[in-house]
Amino acid sequence: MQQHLFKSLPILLLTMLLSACVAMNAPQYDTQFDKELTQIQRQVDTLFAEIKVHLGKPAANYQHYILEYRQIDVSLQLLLTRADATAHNQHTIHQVKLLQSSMDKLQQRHKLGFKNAKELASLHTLINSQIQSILTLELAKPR
Amino acid sequence: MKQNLSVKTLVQDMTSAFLGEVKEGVPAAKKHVQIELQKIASCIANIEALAAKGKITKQQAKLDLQIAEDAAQSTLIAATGISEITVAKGLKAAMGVVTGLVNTALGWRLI
Repeated sequence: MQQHLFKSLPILLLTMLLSACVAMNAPQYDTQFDKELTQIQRQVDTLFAEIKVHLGKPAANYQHYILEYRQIDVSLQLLLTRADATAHNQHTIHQVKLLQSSMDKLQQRHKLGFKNAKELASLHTLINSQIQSILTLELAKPR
Repeated sequence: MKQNLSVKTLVQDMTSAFLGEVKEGVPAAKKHVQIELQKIASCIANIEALAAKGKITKQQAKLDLQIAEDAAQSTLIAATGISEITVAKGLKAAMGVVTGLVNTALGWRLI
Protein backbone atom coordinates (compact mmCIF):
# COMPACT_ATOMS: atom_id res chain seq x y z
CA MET A 1 0.00 0.00 0.00
CA GLN A 2 2.80 2.38 0.99
CA GLN A 3 4.61 1.56 -2.24
CA HIS A 4 1.47 2.23 -4.23
CA LEU A 5 1.13 5.60 -2.54
CA PHE A 6 4.77 6.39 -3.21
CA LYS A 7 4.23 5.71 -6.94
CA SER A 8 1.00 7.71 -7.11
CA LEU A 9 2.20 10.79 -5.25
CA PRO A 10 4.34 12.34 -8.03
CA ILE A 11 1.44 11.95 -10.48
CA LEU A 12 -0.92 13.57 -8.03
CA LEU A 13 1.45 16.43 -7.35
CA LEU A 14 2.01 17.00 -11.05
CA THR A 15 -1.75 17.06 -11.60
CA MET A 16 -2.10 19.58 -8.81
CA LEU A 17 0.61 21.80 -10.29
CA LEU A 18 -1.04 21.70 -13.72
CA SER A 19 -4.36 22.47 -12.08
CA ALA A 20 -2.84 25.45 -10.36
CA CYS A 21 -1.65 26.75 -13.74
CA VAL A 22 -5.18 26.38 -15.17
CA ALA A 23 -6.66 28.14 -12.16
CA MET A 24 -4.30 31.07 -12.60
CA ASN A 25 -5.40 31.52 -16.25
CA ALA A 26 -8.83 32.93 -15.40
CA PRO A 27 -9.20 36.54 -16.63
CA GLN A 28 -9.57 39.25 -14.02
CA TYR A 29 -12.56 41.56 -13.58
CA ASP A 30 -11.96 44.98 -15.16
CA THR A 31 -13.75 47.96 -13.56
CA GLN A 32 -13.04 50.25 -16.52
CA PHE A 33 -14.45 47.68 -18.96
CA ASP A 34 -17.59 47.48 -16.82
CA LYS A 35 -17.97 51.30 -16.92
CA GLU A 36 -17.42 51.49 -20.69
CA LEU A 37 -19.95 48.72 -21.29
CA THR A 38 -22.50 50.51 -19.11
CA GLN A 39 -21.92 53.65 -21.19
CA ILE A 40 -22.59 51.66 -24.39
CA GLN A 41 -25.79 50.31 -22.82
CA ARG A 42 -26.85 53.93 -22.25
CA GLN A 43 -26.02 54.90 -25.86
CA VAL A 44 -27.98 51.93 -27.24
CA ASP A 45 -30.99 52.63 -24.99
CA THR A 46 -30.98 56.29 -26.09
CA LEU A 47 -30.80 55.27 -29.76
CA PHE A 48 -33.79 52.94 -29.50
CA ALA A 49 -35.77 55.47 -27.42
CA GLU A 50 -35.19 58.18 -30.05
CA ILE A 51 -36.24 55.92 -32.92
CA LYS A 52 -39.34 54.81 -30.99
CA VAL A 53 -40.46 58.42 -30.37
CA HIS A 54 -40.31 59.18 -34.10
CA LEU A 55 -41.55 55.83 -35.42
CA GLY A 56 -43.83 56.24 -38.44
CA LYS A 57 -42.39 59.68 -39.22
CA PRO A 58 -39.48 60.69 -41.48
CA ALA A 59 -37.47 61.55 -38.35
CA ALA A 60 -37.22 57.79 -37.63
CA ASN A 61 -35.30 57.19 -40.86
CA TYR A 62 -31.75 55.85 -40.74
CA GLN A 63 -30.04 58.98 -42.08
CA HIS A 64 -30.98 60.90 -38.91
CA TYR A 65 -29.10 58.41 -36.71
CA ILE A 66 -25.79 58.01 -38.55
CA LEU A 67 -23.92 60.01 -35.88
CA GLU A 68 -25.40 57.91 -33.04
CA TYR A 69 -24.39 54.67 -34.77
CA ARG A 70 -20.90 56.05 -35.39
CA GLN A 71 -20.52 56.98 -31.71
CA ILE A 72 -21.57 53.48 -30.65
CA ASP A 73 -19.10 52.00 -33.17
CA VAL A 74 -16.27 54.05 -31.67
CA SER A 75 -17.27 53.05 -28.12
CA LEU A 76 -17.37 49.37 -29.12
CA GLN A 77 -13.93 49.60 -30.72
CA LEU A 78 -12.54 51.13 -27.51
CA LEU A 79 -14.23 48.36 -25.52
CA LEU A 80 -12.65 45.72 -27.75
CA THR A 81 -9.22 47.28 -27.29
CA ARG A 82 -9.79 47.22 -23.53
CA ALA A 83 -10.88 43.56 -23.60
CA ASP A 84 -7.90 42.67 -25.78
CA ALA A 85 -5.51 44.11 -23.19
CA THR A 86 -6.68 41.61 -20.55
CA ALA A 87 -4.94 38.24 -20.53
CA HIS A 88 -6.92 35.04 -21.20
CA ASN A 89 -9.97 37.11 -22.16
CA GLN A 90 -10.96 35.33 -25.42
CA HIS A 91 -14.60 34.79 -24.43
CA THR A 92 -15.21 38.48 -23.74
CA ILE A 93 -13.37 39.48 -26.93
CA HIS A 94 -15.60 37.12 -28.92
CA GLN A 95 -18.72 38.59 -27.27
CA VAL A 96 -17.71 42.18 -28.07
CA LYS A 97 -17.05 41.22 -31.71
CA LEU A 98 -20.51 39.63 -31.85
CA LEU A 99 -22.04 42.83 -30.51
CA GLN A 100 -20.18 44.85 -33.14
CA SER A 101 -21.54 42.50 -35.80
CA SER A 102 -25.07 42.83 -34.42
CA MET A 103 -24.84 46.63 -34.43
CA ASP A 104 -23.77 46.47 -38.10
CA LYS A 105 -26.81 44.30 -38.84
CA LEU A 106 -29.03 46.67 -36.86
CA GLN A 107 -27.84 49.53 -39.08
CA GLN A 108 -28.67 47.50 -42.20
CA ARG A 109 -32.05 46.68 -40.65
CA HIS A 110 -32.67 50.37 -39.89
CA LYS A 111 -31.89 51.28 -43.52
CA LEU A 112 -34.65 48.86 -44.56
CA GLY A 113 -37.01 50.54 -42.09
CA PHE A 114 -38.84 49.65 -38.89
CA LYS A 115 -42.57 49.13 -39.30
CA ASN A 116 -43.81 49.08 -35.73
CA ALA A 117 -42.84 49.43 -32.08
CA LYS A 118 -43.05 45.68 -31.48
CA GLU A 119 -40.29 44.75 -33.93
CA LEU A 120 -38.18 47.64 -32.65
CA ALA A 121 -38.66 46.42 -29.07
CA SER A 122 -37.72 42.89 -30.12
CA LEU A 123 -34.42 44.07 -31.64
CA HIS A 124 -33.75 46.27 -28.60
CA THR A 125 -34.23 43.22 -26.36
CA LEU A 126 -31.78 41.16 -28.45
CA ILE A 127 -29.07 43.85 -28.37
CA ASN A 128 -29.63 44.39 -24.63
CA SER A 129 -29.40 40.65 -24.09
CA GLN A 130 -25.92 40.70 -25.64
CA ILE A 131 -24.77 43.61 -23.48
CA GLN A 132 -26.16 41.86 -20.39
CA SER A 133 -24.38 38.61 -21.23
CA ILE A 134 -21.05 40.45 -21.61
CA LEU A 135 -21.65 42.11 -18.24
CA THR A 136 -22.67 38.81 -16.62
CA LEU A 137 -19.38 37.20 -17.66
CA GLU A 138 -17.38 40.23 -16.56
CA LEU A 139 -18.99 40.24 -13.11
CA ALA A 140 -18.24 36.51 -12.70
CA LYS A 141 -14.50 37.10 -13.12
CA PRO A 142 -12.29 37.01 -10.02
CA ARG A 143 -11.30 40.37 -8.54
CA MET B 1 11.45 9.44 4.11
CA LYS B 2 8.19 8.34 5.71
CA GLN B 3 5.06 8.75 3.58
CA ASN B 4 2.54 10.85 5.51
CA LEU B 5 0.24 11.65 2.64
CA SER B 6 -2.64 9.38 1.76
CA VAL B 7 -3.69 9.66 -1.88
CA LYS B 8 -7.18 8.57 -0.90
CA THR B 9 -7.52 11.33 1.70
CA LEU B 10 -6.04 13.96 -0.61
CA VAL B 11 -8.41 13.01 -3.41
CA GLN B 12 -11.39 13.00 -1.04
CA ASP B 13 -10.53 16.44 0.35
CA MET B 14 -9.82 17.89 -3.10
CA THR B 15 -12.94 16.39 -4.66
CA SER B 16 -15.11 17.71 -1.86
CA ALA B 17 -13.63 21.23 -2.22
CA PHE B 18 -13.90 21.11 -6.01
CA LEU B 19 -17.52 19.95 -6.05
CA GLY B 20 -18.37 22.57 -3.45
CA GLU B 21 -17.37 25.20 -6.02
CA VAL B 22 -18.76 23.73 -9.26
CA LYS B 23 -21.98 21.96 -8.23
CA GLU B 24 -24.21 24.84 -9.37
CA GLY B 25 -22.39 25.38 -12.67
CA VAL B 26 -23.49 22.37 -14.74
CA PRO B 27 -27.30 22.66 -14.36
CA ALA B 28 -26.99 26.43 -14.91
CA ALA B 29 -25.19 25.88 -18.26
CA LYS B 30 -27.90 23.47 -19.45
CA LYS B 31 -30.59 25.97 -18.47
CA HIS B 32 -28.81 28.75 -20.42
CA VAL B 33 -28.71 26.60 -23.58
CA GLN B 34 -32.43 25.78 -23.33
CA ILE B 35 -33.39 29.42 -22.78
CA GLU B 36 -31.34 30.60 -25.77
CA LEU B 37 -32.66 27.92 -28.12
CA GLN B 38 -36.17 28.86 -26.99
CA LYS B 39 -35.48 32.51 -27.92
CA ILE B 40 -34.26 31.55 -31.42
CA ALA B 41 -37.31 29.30 -31.92
CA SER B 42 -39.60 32.19 -30.87
CA CYS B 43 -37.83 34.52 -33.29
CA ILE B 44 -38.38 32.05 -36.15
CA ALA B 45 -42.05 31.64 -35.21
CA ASN B 46 -42.44 35.43 -35.12
CA ILE B 47 -40.83 35.77 -38.57
CA GLU B 48 -43.18 33.12 -39.95
CA ALA B 49 -46.22 34.98 -38.56
CA LEU B 50 -45.06 38.32 -40.02
CA ALA B 51 -44.15 36.72 -43.37
CA ALA B 52 -47.62 35.16 -43.61
CA LYS B 53 -49.10 38.68 -43.30
CA GLY B 54 -46.56 40.13 -45.74
CA LYS B 55 -45.21 42.40 -43.00
CA ILE B 56 -41.56 41.43 -43.25
CA THR B 57 -39.21 41.14 -46.23
CA LYS B 58 -36.75 38.28 -46.70
CA GLN B 59 -33.84 40.64 -46.08
CA GLN B 60 -35.38 41.98 -42.85
CA ALA B 61 -36.19 38.46 -41.64
CA LYS B 62 -32.63 37.26 -42.27
CA LEU B 63 -31.15 40.20 -40.36
CA ASP B 64 -33.57 39.67 -37.43
CA LEU B 65 -32.63 36.01 -37.19
CA GLN B 66 -28.90 36.76 -37.45
CA ILE B 67 -29.15 39.26 -34.57
CA ALA B 68 -31.08 36.64 -32.54
CA GLU B 69 -28.32 34.11 -33.27
CA ASP B 70 -25.62 36.60 -32.20
CA ALA B 71 -27.50 37.23 -28.95
CA ALA B 72 -27.87 33.50 -28.25
CA GLN B 73 -24.22 32.87 -29.04
CA SER B 74 -23.13 35.69 -26.75
CA THR B 75 -25.19 34.30 -23.86
CA LEU B 76 -23.80 30.79 -24.40
CA ILE B 77 -20.24 32.17 -24.52
CA ALA B 78 -20.95 33.84 -21.17
CA ALA B 79 -22.19 30.49 -19.79
CA THR B 80 -19.03 28.75 -21.09
CA GLY B 81 -16.80 31.46 -19.63
CA ILE B 82 -18.57 31.30 -16.28
CA SER B 83 -18.22 27.49 -16.27
CA GLU B 84 -14.48 27.83 -16.91
CA ILE B 85 -14.14 30.40 -14.15
CA THR B 86 -16.12 28.11 -11.83
CA VAL B 87 -13.87 25.16 -12.69
CA ALA B 88 -10.79 27.35 -12.08
CA LYS B 89 -12.23 28.37 -8.69
CA GLY B 90 -12.95 24.70 -7.94
CA LEU B 91 -9.35 23.72 -8.72
CA LYS B 92 -8.08 26.58 -6.61
CA ALA B 93 -10.27 25.42 -3.72
CA ALA B 94 -9.06 21.83 -4.22
CA MET B 95 -5.45 23.00 -4.07
CA GLY B 96 -6.13 25.24 -1.10
CA VAL B 97 -7.66 22.50 1.00
CA VAL B 98 -4.52 20.30 0.81
CA THR B 99 -1.84 23.02 0.80
CA GLY B 100 -0.97 22.70 4.49
CA LEU B 101 -1.05 18.92 4.42
CA VAL B 102 1.20 18.61 1.36
CA ASN B 103 3.70 21.28 2.37
CA THR B 104 4.00 19.89 5.88
CA ALA B 105 4.53 16.34 4.61
CA LEU B 106 7.24 17.47 2.19
CA GLY B 107 8.91 19.83 4.63
CA TRP B 108 9.08 22.54 1.99
CA ARG B 109 6.57 24.73 0.14
CA LEU B 110 5.34 23.04 -3.03
CA ILE B 111 1.92 24.71 -3.29
